[in-house]
Formats: sequence, C-alpha cells, structure tokens
Amino acid sequence: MNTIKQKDAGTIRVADITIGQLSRGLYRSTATAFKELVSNAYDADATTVRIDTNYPEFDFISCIDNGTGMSLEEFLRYFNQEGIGHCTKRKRARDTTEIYKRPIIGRLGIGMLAIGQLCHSFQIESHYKDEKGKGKAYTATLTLLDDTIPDRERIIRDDDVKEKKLPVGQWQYKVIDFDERKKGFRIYSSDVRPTFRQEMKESIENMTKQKRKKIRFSQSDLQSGFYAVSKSVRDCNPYLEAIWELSVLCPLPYYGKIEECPVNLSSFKSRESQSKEYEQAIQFLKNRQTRLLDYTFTVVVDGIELRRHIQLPTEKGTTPMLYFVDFDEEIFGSRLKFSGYLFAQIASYVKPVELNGIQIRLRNVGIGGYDHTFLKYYRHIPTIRNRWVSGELFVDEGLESALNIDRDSFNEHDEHFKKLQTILHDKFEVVFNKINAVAQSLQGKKRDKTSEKLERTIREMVSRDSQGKFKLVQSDLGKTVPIVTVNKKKGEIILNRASHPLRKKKANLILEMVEVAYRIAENTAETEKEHHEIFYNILKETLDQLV
Amino acid sequence: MNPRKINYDTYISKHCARYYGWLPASKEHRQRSKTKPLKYFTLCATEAIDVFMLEKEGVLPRDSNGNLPNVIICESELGDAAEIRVLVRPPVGEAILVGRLEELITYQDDAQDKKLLAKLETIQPSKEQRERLDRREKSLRLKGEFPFDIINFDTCGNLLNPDDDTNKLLYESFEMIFDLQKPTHSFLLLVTTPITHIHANLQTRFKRDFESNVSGYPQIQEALQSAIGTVSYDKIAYNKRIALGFAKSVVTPAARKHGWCGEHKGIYIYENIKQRRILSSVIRFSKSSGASDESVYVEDIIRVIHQMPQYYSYKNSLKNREVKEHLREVKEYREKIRDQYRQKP
Repeated sequence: MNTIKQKDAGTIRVADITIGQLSRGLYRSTATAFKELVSNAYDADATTVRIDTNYPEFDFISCIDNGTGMSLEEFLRYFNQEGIGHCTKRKRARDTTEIYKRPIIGRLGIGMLAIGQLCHSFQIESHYKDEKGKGKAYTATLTLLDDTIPDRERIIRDDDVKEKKLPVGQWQYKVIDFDERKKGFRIYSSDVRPTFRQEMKESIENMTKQKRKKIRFSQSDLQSGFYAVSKSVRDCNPYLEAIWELSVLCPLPYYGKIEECPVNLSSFKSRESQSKEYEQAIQFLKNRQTRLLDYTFTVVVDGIELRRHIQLPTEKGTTPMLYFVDFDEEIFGSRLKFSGYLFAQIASYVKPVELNGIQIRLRNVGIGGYDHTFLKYYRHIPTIRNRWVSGELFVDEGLESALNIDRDSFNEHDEHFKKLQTILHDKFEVVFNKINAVAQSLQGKKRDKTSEKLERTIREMVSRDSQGKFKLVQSDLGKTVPIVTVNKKKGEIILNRASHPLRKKKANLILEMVEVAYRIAENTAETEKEHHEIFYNILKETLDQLV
Repeated sequence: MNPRKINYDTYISKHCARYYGWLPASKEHRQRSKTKPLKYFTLCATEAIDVFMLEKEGVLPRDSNGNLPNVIICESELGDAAEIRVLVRPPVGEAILVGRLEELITYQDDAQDKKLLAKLETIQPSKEQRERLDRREKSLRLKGEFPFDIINFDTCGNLLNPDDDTNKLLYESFEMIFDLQKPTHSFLLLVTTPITHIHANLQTRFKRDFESNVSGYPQIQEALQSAIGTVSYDKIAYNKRIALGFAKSVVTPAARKHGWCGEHKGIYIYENIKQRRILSSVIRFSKSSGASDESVYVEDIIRVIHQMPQYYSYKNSLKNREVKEHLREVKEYREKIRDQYRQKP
C-alpha cells in the first residue's frame, strides 16, 4: 500500500551516520587536530598544556593540561546521554572562562574527537573538583575507530546493514582516587595511527644523524630555523612544520620582546614606512600581546614551549609598511568586531611563504592558516606584489556562525563573513595601491641610481684608459649618427644623446660603455691585435669595478 | 580505586637500597668500563630517582643536547609514561618504550603474526592485531638495544610467585635477559622483587637447594656455622633464608643457563609503607670461564652468608639522615636539570 501522502511538511534532520563520520577524522593536518585539544585546555582555564609525541618514535601521544578537568557527569552527558557534540561551555550566556577571562573557543563539543585523527583508541584521565570543592577523578578508555564500526560506504550500499545509527566507538570508565598533582585533563594513546607515525618518523629519519644531533629545539633555534628556510616551512620536515603550524594557530603570545613583536620597530625608519596607521597598528599589537600574555597560557610540545613565530619584516633591506584595520558594527542583528594589521615588505617575498596572506583569528585562534588569496581578492591584484604582504585579523565578536565544523574554514556566504570580506577588500585596495606607488617610486629611484653609476663608470673609463688623449662630451647629433663618435682633432669622445638604439635607458648606457671602450682601444692601439687586447682589458676592468 | 601510588620522592627505605647498593656498584662498574659511557636500562617511575641519582653521581652522562642517550626507559602505564616523557625527559629527548617489559622481552612471532605481516598492506588490522604488531615492533626495538651495562629490573611484579600468568611471564623475561646480554662480557644487574607471597613450590625449592649446598660444599657449611651458628634451614632468619634462596635458586640457575657467573655486591631488603618487604639484589655478572665457575659460585654464596642481606625497615629508615639527605640532593638535582632544560621563550 502506498503510504506517501499527497501533501506534507516536516523538519529537516541529519542522519546519525553523517554525524558519526566526524570521528573518522575532521581535521586537515596534525597541527589542526592538536589545536583542538589545546583549545579545550584553554577553555578549561589551564595554564599549561603539554603535548608529547614520544619523539622520535611517535608511537605514543599524550596531552596533559592542568585545567579544571571534565567532571564525570559531563563525561556521561557527553558519551552516554546527549552524544558527542553536546557542549555546555557557553551555557548561561557565558562568553569568557571563569578564572582567566579568556574568550571561550569551543562551541560544539567535538574537539576531543580530534585525537581520533591521530589514533584509533585513547585513554582519558580527569582529576577535578566538584561544585562543593571535593576532589574527584576517573579514567576512561575510548575506542573510536575500530573494525567493529561499519564503514560508511558499506552502510550506504549494503541493504543488509539495517542499523543506520552509527556507533562511532565504545567507552568505559572507572572512578579513581583524586590526585591534586594531576588536577586537569589528560589524554593518552599508544594506539597511534600508522599514517601519522610513518609521516613523522620518516621526516626525522630523512635527516642525517649529525643534523638530528645538532637540532637543539630551543626557542631561538626554532625561530631562526623557521626563517632560514629557502622558501617554505615545508623545507624543514613534517614534524617541525606541525610545530610551526600549531604555534601559529594557538592562542599564544608572539615570540620575542613585547615592544617588538611581531614587528621589528627598528626596521620602520624610512619615510615610506611612517604613517598614522603605523602608530595605530603598533599600539594594537602591543595591546594584543599584553592581553595574550595576561591569559597565562602555555603550550609545550615535546618539551618546547610554543610561541607564535612571526617576525616582520622577514627580510633585511626591505621597506616595511604597516596598516591598521578596525571594524565594529551590528550586522544582521549581531555584532561583528574585528581589528588587525596588514604588513608589507617592499620589495621582497614574505618568508616562510606560510606567513604570506591574511590570517583570520577567531577568539585568538587561527582559522585555516594564512590565506594567500586574501579572501579571494587575488583577481584584483595586478602584480606579484601580494607575496610581500602578511597580516592578521583578530575577530573578537561575531563570525562564529560562518565557522565550518572543522574550525578550519568559513562558510563564504555567511553575512558576517561577507561583510568582513568586503571591508578587507576595500582595505586591500588602499594598501595595494600604496604598495604599488611606493614600489614604483623606489624602483624609479633605484633605476636613477643605476644610471648614475653607469654614467660615472663611463667617465672614469675615459679618463683612466685613454691616457689623457680624450675627454668625454655629450651632444645632440641627431638620430642618424651612432651612439658614440670620436673627434680625434679635438680629442673628444662624443656621446650622442639623440640616439637610443635600445628600448631601456640602462641598456643604452651599457651599449655606450662598450662602444666607448671599443673607441678608446681603437684610438690608442697601434696594431689590430693590440686593439683587441686593450678593448678586452678595459671592459674587464670596468665590469669588475661595476659588479 | 587507583592502585597507585607510591611516592618515591619520600620512600626512604627504598633509597637505602639505592644509596648503599645500587650506587656504589654502579660507580664501580663505571670505573671498570673506563671511558666508555654506560648503557642503562630502567623501569623508573615518574620520579626517576635512579636515573637522576646515577646522573648526579657521574655514572650516566648527559649530552650537550640535554639528552641521556644511553638510558632506555620502559613503562607500561600510559599515564606514567606520559609523565615520564613530559617531566623527566629533556626537550625532544629519546623515546621511551611504552609497554610491559615482560611482554616485550618474551614476544615471539607466531604463525598468525607471519600471516598478518604478509598481508599487512592490504588489510586494516583489528585492535588486537594492532596491539600485537605494536608489541612486536617494540620488542624488536628493545631487543635491538641489548646488551646493557646496567639493567635495573625493578618491576611491579613478583618474581617469586610464578603462579600468576603475569609473574610467570616476568620470570621468563628475567631469564631471557641473560640470553640477550650475551654480546657483552660483563654487566651489573639490579633486580628487585617483593618477598611476600612466595610460592610454596619455590619455598620448598629454596630449602632443598639450601640443603644440597650444605651437604655438597663443606666451605658453605663452615660459613653457615661461623656466621649464623646453624646449618638448619628452618632456624635461619626469614630475610637471610630468602636472600640465600633468591641467590641460589632464582638468580644463579637463570644466569648459569646462559653462561654467566655472578658476584653478589649486596642484597637489600626494605619495607614499604604497607610493611611489605621487598628484596633488591645487586649482582655483577661476567662470562662463565668453565672450570673455575664452581669456586666462584661457592665464594659468592659464602659472601651472601656472611654479609647479606641488609635490612631497612620503613620506620627506622626515616631516621637515616645520610640517606634522607642524599635523596633530597637527588631531587634537588632533578629539579635543577628540569629547570635547565625547560624551554623558555
């Protein structure tokens, strides 16, 4: 009997199996998976979170924080009642953490699943105080990705799989004694995914034993190492790349002195570098660094305390410029508030390339790394000058509805995102125009300097190599006369200013230089052989001097 | 309830065994090895007192990177393994072996493992298979680290009660150590076991072996008379009986089977907070030299009769200022090292 009604309406729902697939891996990279664990610790008011990978074997992962822990009630609500994705962090309109008043990062309550990206099963241990201040603790074992969990493809294809509710794993817990020293939340796993292990291990094994021994992994060594790469952090190895990425994404202070980070103030001495926005941006960065330091949050990976390794300008001898972005308005009924900086170094690529682009930071957490397309502004960038630019945008309110579930990208059609994109594109237009103008002016100046140098070289060549027989004069002899002529009677080598056989001024000057050398040789040599020798020697000496 | 945790930072009676036994023997072994850095195996707890003690006393050198490249640590508890890595190891130090020592040492490929290895590229292993593969890999890694100069076989298990499957495996692994040590000429073994709940069969064996020693070696009989005033097993004090039994019936047969000849440097019995007794033997082994082994063995048993064991009750050891002070210095040294290698931005 056909039960389909002619007309009906209802609620759209998402199948459990779709939600269940989250446990199979949601995050782009190792660093983004670790970022979620760090965010959980940050929201739990931990002052330190320690991640360890059992380097260089990578067969054991642990993440230990000293935060408020997760109560057993919360654990059971999460795993036994409501299911994964039930987050209570922002209940009762809470927006900041209780102790350090950090903006709460978590929204959905799926961060813990991030560990599932790196291992098949894991153990948690939580030591916490209940509402009456009594210490409690439990440990639990969770198996996320097991062969007992049917594959999504099988569920989709096989008729015999009736169960559409996807069990994404099994859990069991037991209550243990509270240990004050262990207060906080701990995750361990020795059931590490072979793919993670292999990638990390190979990256270490590919380093020579000597190089491996030399690596000290101190903050300063890391900092200089990241900037010593020829182009990209990928030049290091996947392990260091993961550390770098994690350090950039986490809500951490910058590496370096408070008054300098992330920009080196002493580099901004030139006239082009100074502007009203420069002062605003510097003040903003100082305030932001102070705020991040006040959050008293430390992330330690394999014994290395992470800091955001951003050092601008990344190249010496460039002309740096700094701009300030600030926005605070109600958009479609909710507040959108962001501020940040845009930095450009003229004329050199930002290195490592991972710093090129714009990094959006939501509640201080980096989302998706630096966007090289400048939120799809690339169509409007006429030159490769966008590679000179790096910037960070700190969104303090709004935009969260645009955040995709992986917390690594945005829904580009969200109203807040659209507004932010528009504001930024307007700013980019101003900034890139300014960059172009400064770059062109600097290029013009550079060209003038080169011409001057070439002209001086020609003058010096004549006085040095013609043995006083000739002096250099400039004259307008018309376009039909060669670029260089000689008046033996008057003892003059004449540069014909009307003749420009080549398109570029610099090229014409080089041609002049060669021609003058030839004429000097011709008029001072007695034989053909001598002519060639003198010509060759004059050129050699001049080019030596020039280069 | 959480079975843990002994706080080794305040466990003075245990430190008596370390201070009077492990340390001087390790120093002596260090001197014998001259310039070669010693390779040390340990099942250290999260406090890692033994590691920092031997480092502080110059037995284990730390390299310029802050690592202890010749120290191999094994830990089966995930939580403890994480703490050891995070707190004991310097930044990006060497990996530790996360697994049960007895399972890693005794691991052998079986037919199913071979099948699994052959089709590993094409299948997704189950949890059990993954665990076995993991054990296999760690076993190979651990076996690859042998031989060691000093082995600290200080497990949570009981070597004297093989009824339990875990303890049986533990004894097997203890015996296998002598086989794995074959590539070296000598080594120092620090072996620790609880002496409560000794299996009845083993008790009988202790007595039988004791009596055969008495009847077989007049020198041993003489030594017993002069040191204790009796050759009757039942009249000997419990601690002495167990020390002799452990040396004669547990350590010696396992070592001899694999061609090792032992020299006891000390046997220490200490009491823990729950008043349970624990025995720790310090033995230096050298390659067996055939005919002279018998006299070395007799000399060794006589030494045990005369000098061993030393006993440290939990309560009395708390009054031992010298040991307390030493433990304090080791802890202080540990904190100094942690601070030194703690990365600061």
